[in-house]
Amino acid sequence: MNTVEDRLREALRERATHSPIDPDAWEQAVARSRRRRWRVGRVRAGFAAPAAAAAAIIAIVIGMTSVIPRSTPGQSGSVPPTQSSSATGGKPCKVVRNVRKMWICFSAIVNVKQGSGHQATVTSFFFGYSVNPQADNVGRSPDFCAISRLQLPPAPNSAGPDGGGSCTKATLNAGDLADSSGSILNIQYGIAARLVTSVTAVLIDGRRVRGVVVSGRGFLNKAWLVTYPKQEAATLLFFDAAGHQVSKLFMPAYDQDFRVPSSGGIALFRAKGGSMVAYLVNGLITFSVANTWEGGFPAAGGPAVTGLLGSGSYWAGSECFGYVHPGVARVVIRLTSGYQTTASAFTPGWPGSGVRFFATGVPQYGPATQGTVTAYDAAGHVMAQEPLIGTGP
Amino acid sequence: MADLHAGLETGRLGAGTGDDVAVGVAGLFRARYPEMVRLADLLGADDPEDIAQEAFARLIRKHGSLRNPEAAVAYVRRCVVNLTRNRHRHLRVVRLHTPAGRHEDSSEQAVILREDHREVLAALAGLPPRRREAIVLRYWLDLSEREIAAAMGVSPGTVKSNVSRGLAALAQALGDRT
Repeated sequence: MNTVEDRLREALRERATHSPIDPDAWEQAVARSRRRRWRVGRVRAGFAAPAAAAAAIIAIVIGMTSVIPRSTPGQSGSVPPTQSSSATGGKPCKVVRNVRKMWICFSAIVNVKQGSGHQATVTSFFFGYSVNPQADNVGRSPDFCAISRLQLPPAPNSAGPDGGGSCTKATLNAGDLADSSGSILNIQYGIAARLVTSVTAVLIDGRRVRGVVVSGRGFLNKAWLVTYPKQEAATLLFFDAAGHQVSKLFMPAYDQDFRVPSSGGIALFRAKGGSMVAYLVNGLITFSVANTWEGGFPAAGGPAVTGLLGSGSYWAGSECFGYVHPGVARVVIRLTSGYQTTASAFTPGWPGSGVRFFATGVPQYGPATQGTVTAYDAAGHVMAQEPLIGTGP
Repeated sequence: MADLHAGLETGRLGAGTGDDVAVGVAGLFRARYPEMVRLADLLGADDPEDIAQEAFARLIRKHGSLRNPEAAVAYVRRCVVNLTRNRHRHLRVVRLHTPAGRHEDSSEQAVILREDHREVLAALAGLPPRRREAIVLRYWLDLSEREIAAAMGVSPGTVKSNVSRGLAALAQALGDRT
């Protein structure tokens, strides 16, 4: 007679053969991995690429005309990086081919090199139009594209992407002087108005990291980048030639290794997958429900209001929530669909933090829906207006 | 938004300088995804694919801090165990607030699985979560105590205890039924 252990082994082995495997599992896992990344700004297309693929893409983009000087490998934030550009004239320079989309660029391609050795990255900026190969037409609105990749192959056994990039909206919203377009590796990048000449990231612990602002022929706006650990939240300060601060952006932390703290959190509302709970860890606020989380917001020092737009399987499906700092009497949520609602009832946050939470349902919205949240004081003055941060798939 | 993911589709994320070290997330996914689905299934997850995909999604997000494929496998395995445990915890709460319903295997499973295997698996399902985890990791994946401890987030001594007590409980349950 078989022992319990033998019977156990056989039963487990046989049972395991009946587990279902979805052929689209990889695509779904990739989609999930991107779901919880903050998308500050309106990223329309992005990709991560290994060094070889990224290099091939760059070669096509640049048409082999761009030369990255090998001298003065700058250390991020300390030594100014080098840059070079390849003017492409008025006609389309080259076509970027990747899996699903292409771009025709109309600007020069400006390369910014940072770091050295295996850590050296080259980021290429250009402006162009997306091409739909199926419909054989060109997009009507220009894109700002950024592609970053490690200059050298990564060290053996290293894990992680070797590059990537995104193409996003090329223009600034009215009144804005700078906007974030996305991130790849530890590089944050975006566009800024002509008068912006420098950018500095101030991390939550006060450290300052200087970034780079560049321009090139045909650029609709300047391009900026700054490199710091993406697990840290930061405030980006933008300055003009006279050294005056002209704009700032708050960047939440990306890719936190979040663990629910034993001290517990503050339950905000009932979502589809459970209670939406806010946690405070190391000065950062994280919202979590059903093993998913969105987090990295500074509890202090950020804008007067931070708002999120929730959707997806773990979320209730359509809600707007976030937190405010002292002095805010109400918040108004405005979606691009035209919907508008006000929240003036707040859930108290942690004692001494000054943080209070709001949450309100909003109608079901499409993937292109964006919005803003505006904080008003008791006298009706606007304290802050911030774009809503999309969550979920 | 169109996610292009050119690199991910090549399966060479985290590739080294040679093919022998070109074990990236995509490659790891191809090699280990079925195993992780089965692990979640054997641990009693109601949607094992959901668990396995979430575990790999976390790996993709964490890739920068994992330096070798073995660490990645251990990380994903631990994610599967933790996520399944969390899912059980969640379902226990849900069941407190919903009318009692008994879990039934599909008719396909009922036909396919041998009677004695069903008995064993039913007894396994009746074990406390950590004993079940230790048993599955030990007798299905043939992991060492150290590896099981890493996956469960406990000490090797606790693993030994869980396996021993789990086996004893299984023996008693199977003995009672025969």
